[in-house]
Amino acid sequence: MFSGLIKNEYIKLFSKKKTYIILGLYILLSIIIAMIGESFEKSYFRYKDPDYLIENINHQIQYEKEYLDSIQNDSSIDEDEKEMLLKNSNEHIETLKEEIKRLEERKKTGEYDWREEYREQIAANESIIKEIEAKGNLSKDDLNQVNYMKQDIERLNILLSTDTSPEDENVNTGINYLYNNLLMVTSAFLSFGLILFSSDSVSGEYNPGTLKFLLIQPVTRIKVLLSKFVVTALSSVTLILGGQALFFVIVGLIKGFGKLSRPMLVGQEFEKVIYDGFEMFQRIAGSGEYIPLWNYILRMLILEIFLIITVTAFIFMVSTISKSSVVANTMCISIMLGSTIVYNLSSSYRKISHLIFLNFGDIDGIVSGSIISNTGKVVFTPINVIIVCVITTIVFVLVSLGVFKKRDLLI
Amino acid sequence: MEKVLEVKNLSKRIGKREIIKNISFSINKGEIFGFLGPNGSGKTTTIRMLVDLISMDSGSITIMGKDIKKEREEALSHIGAVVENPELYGYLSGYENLMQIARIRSISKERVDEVIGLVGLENRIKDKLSKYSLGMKQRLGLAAALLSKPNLLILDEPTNGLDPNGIQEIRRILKTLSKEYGMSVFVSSHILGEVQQLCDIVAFIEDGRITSIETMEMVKKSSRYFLETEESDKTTSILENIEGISVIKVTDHGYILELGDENPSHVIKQIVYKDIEVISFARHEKELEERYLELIKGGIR
Repeated sequence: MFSGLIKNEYIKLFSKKKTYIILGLYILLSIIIAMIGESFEKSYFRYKDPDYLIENINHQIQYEKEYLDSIQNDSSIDEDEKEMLLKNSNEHIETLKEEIKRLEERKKTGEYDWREEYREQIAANESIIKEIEAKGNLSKDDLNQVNYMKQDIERLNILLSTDTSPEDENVNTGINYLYNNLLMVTSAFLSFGLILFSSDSVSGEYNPGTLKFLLIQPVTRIKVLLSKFVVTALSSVTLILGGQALFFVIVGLIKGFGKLSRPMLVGQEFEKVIYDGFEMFQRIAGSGEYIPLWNYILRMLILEIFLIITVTAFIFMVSTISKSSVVANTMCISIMLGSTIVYNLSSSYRKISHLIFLNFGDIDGIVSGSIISNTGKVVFTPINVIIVCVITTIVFVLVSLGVFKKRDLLI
Repeated sequence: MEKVLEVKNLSKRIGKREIIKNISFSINKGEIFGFLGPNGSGKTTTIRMLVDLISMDSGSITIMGKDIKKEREEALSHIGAVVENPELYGYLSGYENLMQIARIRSISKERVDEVIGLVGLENRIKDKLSKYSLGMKQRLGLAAALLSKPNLLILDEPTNGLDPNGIQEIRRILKTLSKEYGMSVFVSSHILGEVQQLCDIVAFIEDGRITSIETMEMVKKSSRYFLETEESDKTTSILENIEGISVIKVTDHGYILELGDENPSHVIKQIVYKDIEVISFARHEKELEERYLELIKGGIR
């Protein structure tokens, strides 16, 4: 009997024109995200082109020379200071010229040895660490710098060992597409898409009153409502993740799937600092660990699934209580927009934001840990977010069932 | 006689208003029960309680011995109903609308086809419901209610939107179902002609109260007789002197005589004996409308 209800709900969902319109919009969004990735890639290649870079550096040299002239003719600066400024400026011009030489070289050979550059960077970092450590009696700032450098060495070493070039991060590959898609969909479009998709799941049956036909059948009201929730939630998860998987494959087949082992930083820790009289959260240098990109994206996907189910449960509850699709839509949109506005305006709200699912759109921030610096809540971790999602979903479903079971149907 | 539906002391308050006031009635197997009352008298509210769309404040409803509150699903399994308008899914075909119910009630496709044939929707069943006329929607609603071969069929104004042929056909279907298959039918209506032609028993409801429950024979029963003869002062005065006639009313083709408890054969004997030329003498059967107006104060609103 329950399977019959489930099948009925699927048939109803996929017989509505609205479902296909929303699907069409979702595909359009996915294409736009792919196009954005493509344009990112183009500008990346443009900016790393030696000719472009040389031209850019020449502009800088030009600017620096003008600055030199202006200092030399400035009588208001005392001689000692002038001398120092001129020295710095000349040094800068020399560095820029060296950079041009390197680029000219690169242009000639046509090759860019990123591995060598990474190795040089590692060596440079190591020498800075040695320099600092040689001083002995390290200050907090010194320690921070050492930790920062060490973590950077770790990152560069992973990049070298996994043979991950700078291009891997910037080219529009399948995996990079998926990452961008997850970022954009969950932070901006997920809630509104779900409102359009599911806000009429119950309220839509009040007018016209098709719910009457459903409720005079010999099944409990709880089963009727649960079948609706299960189908709405499952369809939302399947369609959203299905779309992401599909475009991951399409972009992957066209542009390559990309490096799945690229290191991503998670579990960053933050500490409270007072800066210019303001309380701020600063990342503890060297905190967190590197995990491969595939693992990072998997964590994002899991969070996305929980987020979809919780948002659906919320919309479903509003839909059950409101008896009208228009009211349900308006209420959901107002609450979601309202929450975003309050989040940006009120630091007190941000402090409790880790308990409210409406603020879980930044899954990248949650997985990496950077959301803690925005909210000041060190408990804003992926695990806690999942726990809040589960509890919230259960509460929403129970409220929906409670209201629906007792309601007089006067339609 | 097996009781299919038993309603006892049912009451319902919505807001401050008492909509249903302590009503009781029952329907036996195979009976067609008419629920007659003006708009707003509580017919649809009663039906909503019968199928548990709304809760009752007090009283009980038992369907095939199952209490709608305590054994809701079992009770509902014996009912097929159309509450108010037959609102089904406009974006689904007629067939899929029926299949929705068939899946919930585990009804075979053969039965679905059989019912489609019964209500005469074979040619349009694959069309989307949104393209149906009101009459077709009524037929589909009836089909949906009949799918499970219910013991009790509940219909709310079932001939709304039907043309005369359609009305006659629905009436024929309902009579067949009741006589041949023993299905009990509960029909609410404010259309007197419909109830008169269809029902075996009629309950009159006004302002949430059942004022009377009568069989159609009781409704029609009267002690008025129509005497067809040429009207004249002489005849009138003769009639006035005949014992047993309590009221005499002149009509176009003769007289209407109220006999009370008097034996009509005794009266006709005297009429003939006193040389009144009788063309015909017949009992005047009361129309439901007359009874309705007698019972429901103020008549149809």
